[in-house]
Amino acid sequence: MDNKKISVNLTDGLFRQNVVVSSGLAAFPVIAIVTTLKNAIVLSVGFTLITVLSVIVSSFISRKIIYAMRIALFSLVSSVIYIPVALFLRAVFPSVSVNLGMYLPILVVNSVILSKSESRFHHLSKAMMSFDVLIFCFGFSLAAMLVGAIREVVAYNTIFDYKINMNFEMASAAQPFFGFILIGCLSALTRLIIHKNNPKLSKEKK
Amino acid sequence: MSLNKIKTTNEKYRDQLLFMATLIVPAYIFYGINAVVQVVVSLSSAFIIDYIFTKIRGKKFYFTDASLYVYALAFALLLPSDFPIYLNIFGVIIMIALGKHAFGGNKNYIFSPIALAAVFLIVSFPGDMLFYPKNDSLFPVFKTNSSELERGIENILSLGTLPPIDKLDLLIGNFSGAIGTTCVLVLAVCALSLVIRKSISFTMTATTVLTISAYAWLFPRAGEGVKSAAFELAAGFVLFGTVFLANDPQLLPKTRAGRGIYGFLLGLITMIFRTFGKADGAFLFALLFANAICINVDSFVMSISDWMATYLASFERLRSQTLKDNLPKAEDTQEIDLPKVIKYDTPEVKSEVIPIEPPKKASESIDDKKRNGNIAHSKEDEHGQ
Repeated sequence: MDNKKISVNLTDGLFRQNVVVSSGLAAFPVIAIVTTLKNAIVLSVGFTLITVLSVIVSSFISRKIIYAMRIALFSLVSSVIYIPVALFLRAVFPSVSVNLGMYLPILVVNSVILSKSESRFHHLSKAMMSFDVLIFCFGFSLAAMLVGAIREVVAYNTIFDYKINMNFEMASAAQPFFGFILIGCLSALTRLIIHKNNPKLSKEKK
Repeated sequence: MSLNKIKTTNEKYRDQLLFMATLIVPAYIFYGINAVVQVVVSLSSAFIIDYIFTKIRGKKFYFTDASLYVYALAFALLLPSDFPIYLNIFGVIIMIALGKHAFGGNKNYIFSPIALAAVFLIVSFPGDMLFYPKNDSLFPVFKTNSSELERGIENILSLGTLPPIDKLDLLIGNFSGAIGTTCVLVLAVCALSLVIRKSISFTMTATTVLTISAYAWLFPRAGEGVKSAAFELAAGFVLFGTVFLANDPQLLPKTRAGRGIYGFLLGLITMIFRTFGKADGAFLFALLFANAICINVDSFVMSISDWMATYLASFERLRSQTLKDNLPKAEDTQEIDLPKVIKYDTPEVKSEVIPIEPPKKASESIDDKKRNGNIAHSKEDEHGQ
């Protein structure tokens, strides 16, 4: 089972298994902290660096080690990788990385590293795995930027600090409850598109 | 219609709609044509939005479903008279789409859709939702109110002062507030009529009002005694919410004790939110909270009553017999009523006596088997041929 190779669609991470709007594996930082497009970009960079490097390094951990221990080692690897990534973000985006607060370090234990790597990434060859993780992270970034842009426009009537003339300003869009509602609506839309494009799924449901 | 007849959910909604519509009259008297405009916009937009979302879900749209009109009217009556029209429509979208259809439509939702939409608007647009036009003149028919805005009684009480309002003004609703929530007298008549017509729960309504009054009397925020209780009841959305929102037939517990618990918790949470919280509209937040807590209160009440009927009642009977020196005799057996929830699928015992045939001898039985076997074989052979 452990060494079993699986066949995967490499574009899954972009839309069909998107970790924010489809499977919800990494939705929590987007709900909590992505209230502007800048936050979304910095979080996406941090997520991509931590996740890609952690999955690649942890793939070298022997699969003979028991599952529980292996997961603990994955966390250890990602927490080691977090330190240079955090320093890099602090140097490049000094103000925004402070805004992210505890949601950047908490990415160390995100489900893409802990769960998806066991069920998907580590069954692939190294090159395929790297490409697949990158696609998943790209999917996360797209979803985060979409959510960040919508919330910034609705909450502050700005996009990248450029003022937009709108009469509809809703400050509560920057609060987590609106994040839940927005991601819920986007998830529903994603499911609808997936089911429309794949009639088999809707037939199975019926 | 007979008062003793058990009403269907739609009939209850129709009754509520009828009595809620009477609140438009004092709203028109105090807030002018703006109040009527809010009601019309809310009703028409709710109809269109519900039709669209019902069709999106692939369900049949019933325009005779009174719950939709109750929600739309109740939502409009929770708004200030000068509330922006586009926000009214936005609130209706939240109510119908998120509060109703996202949970699966009628009979499936767990939170009051009206309270959900109103809370969403309070959190998102407090400046529009919690500032009411100053109610300085009676009968502004075909006019709009003065552009001066002020906070409601709830906010004045939270500052520790009593609002300068006469008893008569408090009763007829001549003070700033949401369109349909200020007229205490009309609300009281509506509540009484609906209780008599059995369209709302007396237990729930009375428990909520009593809990809020008792809390305000014991721990007053402003003033003391009865005065504090009266202002707490008239402030915010308490009376309107208790009569029309909390008594939603689809959310109300089925058992009387469940309704009592629901009403008590609703009143208590409202007063706790008012005392320790800062946000206005505490009743609506408390209603959502009580909806979440009391989602399964009926099964809790049923299990408690089953336990009491099964064990506690038999124990009490034995105890009372012992206290009366009427000790049960040695041959008496203690009767225990088993809970009705447990079903025993044991067959009925027939009184007929069925004689048991003596077992056949071993040699005979072997012979019989052999004979049967031979017969079977011969039959198989015949079929095979």
